[in-house]
Amino acid sequence: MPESKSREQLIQEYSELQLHVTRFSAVQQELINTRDRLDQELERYKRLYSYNALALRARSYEEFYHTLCEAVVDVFEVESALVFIEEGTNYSNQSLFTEGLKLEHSSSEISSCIANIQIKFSGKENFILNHENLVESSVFKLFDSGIFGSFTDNALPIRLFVFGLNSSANSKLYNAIEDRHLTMFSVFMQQLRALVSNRKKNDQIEKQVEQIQSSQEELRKLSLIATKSKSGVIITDTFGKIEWVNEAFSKISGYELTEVIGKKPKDFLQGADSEDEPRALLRNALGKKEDVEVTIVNYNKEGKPYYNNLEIISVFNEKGEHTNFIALQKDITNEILFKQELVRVNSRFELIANQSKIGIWEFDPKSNQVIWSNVLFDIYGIQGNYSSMELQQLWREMIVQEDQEMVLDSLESLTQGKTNSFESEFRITRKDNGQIRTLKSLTVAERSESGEIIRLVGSSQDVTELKQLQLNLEGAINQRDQSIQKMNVLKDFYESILEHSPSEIMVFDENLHLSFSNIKDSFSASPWVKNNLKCEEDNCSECDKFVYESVQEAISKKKLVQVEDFYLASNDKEVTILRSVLPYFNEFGKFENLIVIGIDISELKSAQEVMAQNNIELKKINSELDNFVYSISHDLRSPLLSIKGIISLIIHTDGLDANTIQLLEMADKSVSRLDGTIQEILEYSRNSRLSVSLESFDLKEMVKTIFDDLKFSSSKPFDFKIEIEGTSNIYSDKARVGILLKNIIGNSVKYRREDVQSLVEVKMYRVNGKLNMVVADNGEGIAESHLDKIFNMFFRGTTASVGTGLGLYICKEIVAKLNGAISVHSELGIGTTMSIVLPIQTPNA
Amino acid sequence: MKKVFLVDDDEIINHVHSQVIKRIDASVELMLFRSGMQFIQFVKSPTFKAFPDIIFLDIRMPEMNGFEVLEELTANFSNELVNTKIYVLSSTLDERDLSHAVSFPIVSKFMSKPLSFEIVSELLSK
Repeated sequence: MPESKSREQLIQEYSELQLHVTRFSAVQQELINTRDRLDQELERYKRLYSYNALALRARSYEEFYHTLCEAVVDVFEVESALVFIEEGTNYSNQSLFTEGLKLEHSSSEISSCIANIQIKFSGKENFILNHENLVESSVFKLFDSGIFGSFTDNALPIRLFVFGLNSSANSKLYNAIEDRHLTMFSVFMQQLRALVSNRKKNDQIEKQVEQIQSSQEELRKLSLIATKSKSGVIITDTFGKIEWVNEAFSKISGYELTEVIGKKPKDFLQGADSEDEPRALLRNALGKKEDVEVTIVNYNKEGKPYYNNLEIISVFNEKGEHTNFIALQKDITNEILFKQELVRVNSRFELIANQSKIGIWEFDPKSNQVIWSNVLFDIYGIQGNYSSMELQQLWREMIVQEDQEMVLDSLESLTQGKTNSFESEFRITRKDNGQIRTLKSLTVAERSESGEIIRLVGSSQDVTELKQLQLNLEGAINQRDQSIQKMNVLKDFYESILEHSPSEIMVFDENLHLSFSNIKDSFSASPWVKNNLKCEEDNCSECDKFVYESVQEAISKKKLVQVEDFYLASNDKEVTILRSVLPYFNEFGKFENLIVIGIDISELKSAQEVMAQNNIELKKINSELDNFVYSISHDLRSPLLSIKGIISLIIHTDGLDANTIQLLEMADKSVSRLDGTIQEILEYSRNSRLSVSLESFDLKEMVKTIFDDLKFSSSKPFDFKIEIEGTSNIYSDKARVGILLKNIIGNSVKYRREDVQSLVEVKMYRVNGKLNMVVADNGEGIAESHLDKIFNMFFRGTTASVGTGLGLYICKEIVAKLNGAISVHSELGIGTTMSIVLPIQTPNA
Repeated sequence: MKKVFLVDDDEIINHVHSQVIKRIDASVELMLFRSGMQFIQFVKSPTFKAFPDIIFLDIRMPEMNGFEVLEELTANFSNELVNTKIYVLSSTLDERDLSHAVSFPIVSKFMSKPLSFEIVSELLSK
């Protein structure tokens, strides 16, 4: 317990306490009021907070600012609200959002009103507007009071103005705006500032994220391009040391990334053939950190050189510091080689143009410039320097008058675009020697895409001689055509002859196809024309094998083959056609044609058959006649020879007187003569009747036999000599030669002289393809007066002759039969020489 | 002693020829045949002993001519005829007969009729 206090103390304490109570009551009231106000404000703050949350969730700025307007009206209990925003660096974008305010003004009018208010309250961020402030502005003059706040954020950048407005006329809340509101409005404005700023920053961040994402994507694409590019890519640091290379680089150079990282490209890519000029260019550009493009010879890992088209880009960061070089390289070896080849081809073309004397010209219509090649100058026969104008003038003058119009017209249609090129042939008068020459020329217009002529190019060639040659050739062709025509006429002529020929003519080509035939009745030649000359079957129903065989024989032996073709004509008559199959070979020995000529030999054939039949009969008759003659001669001789034998027997009988012997010898002589006559008649008959029959025989043997026979029948001895040159074998009619020699030698023996030793010489020799037989004797000889008659029939020189007068006649006939000749040389009392000349024949002739 | 056969259908010439032979050599043993048939029948008969030294054979005979006789002899008696001379006699002028006759190997010669004293003495003296 505290110490006891005085009353006064207590009263004082009481009064003080009373005062406190009063004060306390006042305070309590105050507190209650304050509490109410605070409750009210809390309520407002709560609402503000909920709007804040709404504003945060706003999906668009439009929604956001509309929410703001709503919040101002709702929280600060004003009639209407307006939010004015200026965005961007120069605050060019203006947006206006209102709530409960009918806007009849443009944002620029509002903007100028806001500016006026701001100037009036400069330095204040939030303030309350009274009627005076508002009537000054046309836009807000209807309003009696208001609240205004603004803020500017340069970093975002944004400037925002907020109005809350009340009018006495229309609002129950006329007095709602008081100082108390201002505090809350400041809070609201701060919150708003934070909200807008956050929102804006968020936007920026989102944008940046988006940008980063898109640049990352871009970077990914770029790196993909760099990696996959066909061009080689090298990235170096600022000192030129390699940081990265792509696949294409490895492919071109043969070096992998791991091999080259940290190295300078020039240290391993350049080599002996890398030219100085591009190297200097590179060095210079790299030193100055400049971009550069060069073509340089580089070497790959295997040491093979290639043309490298190198493009170097200097890379700087945002601060302007040099960080990298990027080198793009392309292997353009093929392009370079192609270019070089092009140059070579071009120079070759020029060479050809020069060599083949083709003149080339070029005309540029813009500059009116004409360029002529040297050959063209030669063609026109001009020398020296001419300006383009002079050259064009000169050219026009040199064209022969008659051709000028045509040439200039063609040029005209070319320049007018009607044609793109024209070929022409025109004559010129050469400047140097005045000769007229013919030129063949081609002019081509080179046009741009719009069809405008960029230039004209042309070629000209002197074709004067060619033209002449062509004319000559045409003449020759003309002549040839005429010849062909003549030949065709001749061919027709001969074909018509062939057509009307009685022979059947067929011509086959080298393939044995029928190419010509004049046969109307195809039946007769059917085995030939059925196109079956090649059929070699034995029993072919359509063809005859002999056709094939004869054709084959003719072609293989290259000779004429004849065959007989039988067939039964429609009138049942047997027809025989003799076909001559003649192969024709050209001058190179190649088989070209087969000519088959058929002749109807039916009549000839039947005549031949009749003749052959007659011949057989004739032979039979002849043979019978021969036999008859022999039999007759035999039968005639037999008794005669018996008589001769009997006479001989009687003569050899002893004791005969001389007279008897003489008579017997006369009888013997007569018998001999009769026998001789029979023989001669027989020989004559046979020689005239029988045909010559040739055989081989020994002439010497024959002569010897004749001499032997004569010796036996001769009473007085004689000498004989045989001289044969060469072979004694001859080919002739043995029987006739025998009779011939027997007669002639017999004569020599018969007519001997009594006073000399008789000699008969037979000589045989061949001269000039003839066989000569000479029989010479030293006998009686023949009187000159008889010489021309001795070969006559029945001529007998003397009565002493023992012959019939047929002997030499038969000899003459035989010689004639053997196509020979017989002659005689004789002197009476000295001797006779008979000469026989016969043709030499051989068994095969 | 020579043996000679005469084969001829002509009686007169047979007589002449045998006279000529006998007058030259009377010792010659001579046989006459009037035809080829008769001659062949004789040489084929079992009693026939040997062929003579000389045979004079005529060609033209009835029934069997000289060629047919020569064919028979060639066919049957080639060996037995080695020492026999066959002379073909004829009055023919037919060359074919002559060459036909000498074509037989057994024939020695062809001779023309009549046989002369000269020829016969030469033949018999061989």
